[in-house]
Amino acid sequence: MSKSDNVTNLVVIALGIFVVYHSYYSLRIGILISPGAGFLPFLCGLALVALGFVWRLQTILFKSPPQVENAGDPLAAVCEAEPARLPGSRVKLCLAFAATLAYACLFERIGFLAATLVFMLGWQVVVERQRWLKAIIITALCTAAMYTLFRYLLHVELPSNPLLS
Amino acid sequence: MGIFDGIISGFFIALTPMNLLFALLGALIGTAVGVLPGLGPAATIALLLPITYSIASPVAAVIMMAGIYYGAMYGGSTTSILLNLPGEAASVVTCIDGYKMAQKGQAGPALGIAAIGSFIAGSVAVVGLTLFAPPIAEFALSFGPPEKFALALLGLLMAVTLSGESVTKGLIIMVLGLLFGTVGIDPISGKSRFDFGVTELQSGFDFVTLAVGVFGLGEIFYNLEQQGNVEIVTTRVGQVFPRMADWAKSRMAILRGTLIGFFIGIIPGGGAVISSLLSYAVEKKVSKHPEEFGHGAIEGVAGPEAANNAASSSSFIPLLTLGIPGNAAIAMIFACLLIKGVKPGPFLIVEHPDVFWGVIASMYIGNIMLIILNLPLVGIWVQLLRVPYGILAPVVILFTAIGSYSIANQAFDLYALIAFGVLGYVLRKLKIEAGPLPLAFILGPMIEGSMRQSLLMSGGSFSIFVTRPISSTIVALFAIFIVGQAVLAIRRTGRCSKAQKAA
Repeated sequence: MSKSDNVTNLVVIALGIFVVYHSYYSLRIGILISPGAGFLPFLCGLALVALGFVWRLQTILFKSPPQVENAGDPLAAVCEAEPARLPGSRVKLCLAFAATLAYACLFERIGFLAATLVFMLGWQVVVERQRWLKAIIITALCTAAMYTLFRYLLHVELPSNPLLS
Repeated sequence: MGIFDGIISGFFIALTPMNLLFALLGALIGTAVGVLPGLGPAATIALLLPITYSIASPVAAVIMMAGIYYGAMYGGSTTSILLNLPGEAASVVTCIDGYKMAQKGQAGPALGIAAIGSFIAGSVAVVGLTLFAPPIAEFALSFGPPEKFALALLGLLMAVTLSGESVTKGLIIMVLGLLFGTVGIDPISGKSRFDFGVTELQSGFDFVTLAVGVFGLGEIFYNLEQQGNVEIVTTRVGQVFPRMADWAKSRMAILRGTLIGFFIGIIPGGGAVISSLLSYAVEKKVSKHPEEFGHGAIEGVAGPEAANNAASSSSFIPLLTLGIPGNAAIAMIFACLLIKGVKPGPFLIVEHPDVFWGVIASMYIGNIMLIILNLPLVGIWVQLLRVPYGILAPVVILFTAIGSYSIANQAFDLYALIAFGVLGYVLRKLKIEAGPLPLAFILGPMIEGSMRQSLLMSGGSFSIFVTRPISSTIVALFAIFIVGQAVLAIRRTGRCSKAQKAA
């Protein structure tokens, strides 16, 4: 079991306790003949607490999974293969997450077209480190393709720029 | 309507130009998804779910989604064999011997036998689906709330325990899925649950947002950390039709793979991944030359490829007859049916025979389309890997965002999408199978509703689940399954302890 398991199972237990408390006091679990709105969430909360403890127990009992049995088995080797993380990938991930969050914030505020242009250009220049010219071409083509697909082919209502409209 | 009349009417529906076009679209997208590593069939169907709002006919929408699902199984073998890069999870096993064959200059026969095995298995499984589905649906018509509750719970638990490495983690994800399903106004008491004062949460989370976030966005975030530069294949594919000697070696493997895949596919949680793994293990066990496995044995390609295709077709049986999705991709098709106003389950064959028979008939046609697309056009599919991830990733993110937004035209869904994306990423990092999440989310309201109805019927007694013949049988199966899993877990624990002591 990894270090992250140590933290995650505590989070699961805490979440379970919160769900049990909220279901019991705020939602009300009702009686068996007429279960209330909190009945299923209450059971789910109890299950989370119990499963969190089982996971914790497993984390304590088995610190690292044994690899002995599968040695030399091509099937096990392929199934257990873990892709290597690229250098600088954590930064790339954070930038991608920030770009997606920014897109969500801008989507209704500045409209689909402007938000998509900003997002695509930002991604190509900041996340992918493309040259400006290539980034502009990719951005323009992708934005035009997405707009045509959603607006004209699928007839999706997309937010327009408040200043332009 | 009898089976024969049904399938004939199904062919009339599936052969209309519009439905043929959607079957071809599904087969094309599915093959592309299978070829491209990173986006599995579940994620792709999730990404395309919002588009189904724009497709008028439910038959056409489901035909396309089904095509994506079984098309991905065909396409997945291509990159596994040529690049040692599984396009989707069920093709992982094909890498072992398929890539070795390609290294020995036998890429053509490997690709050929994978496509032909897939075609045979897919076609046989659809015949099985045609014959088995109607009687199961008829039997399920007698199910009341206790039976529905017991069946949904059994299906869910089987899906959880069979689909992932850790049962505990799978159960936690299942419970989380049930909890996400309870967010919003309770349909019986009218009380709002877990909205924390946010108005948008009163209508609950949308399935599309959850599925697209966890499988689409989460997958993109995860791949950004792992994605390397894929080397374009230089292996000569050559003659794709296998020689007689290859066929002689593979035919029994294809037959065994088909049977394994068909029966594993019916079990919730079974699906394509487990069946391909099991088929490989069986082929190695029955082979007179097990030492050849791992070094380019053609049976190691034929069996698993047949198994994963058979499983992808037979996994439609519990969906179309009982309304129980057995895996994440099938849960997406379940959602697609709901979006189109069609409720999957025993009444589907009576209320929407066009959907039931049309989709089944389209699978026969889809399999023929796929063998045509996959055998002669294999070189074109490999070129898809030239699309840089730096373009693919933001385009997929835009797809997920616009798709989620278009459901209710509210920015809140974009934030929910990102939250689910982060959840999907965290689950991948923690090596937790996310499949049970959409399954529990979609079955949650049915489980809760039937449980409350059952308790109301019995005057608050849980005995209703063991006093009715069908529900008591399901509960007995449930108990056997739990005991079996517990015994397996104890044995595994014992082996782990021994191994740790030895180390």
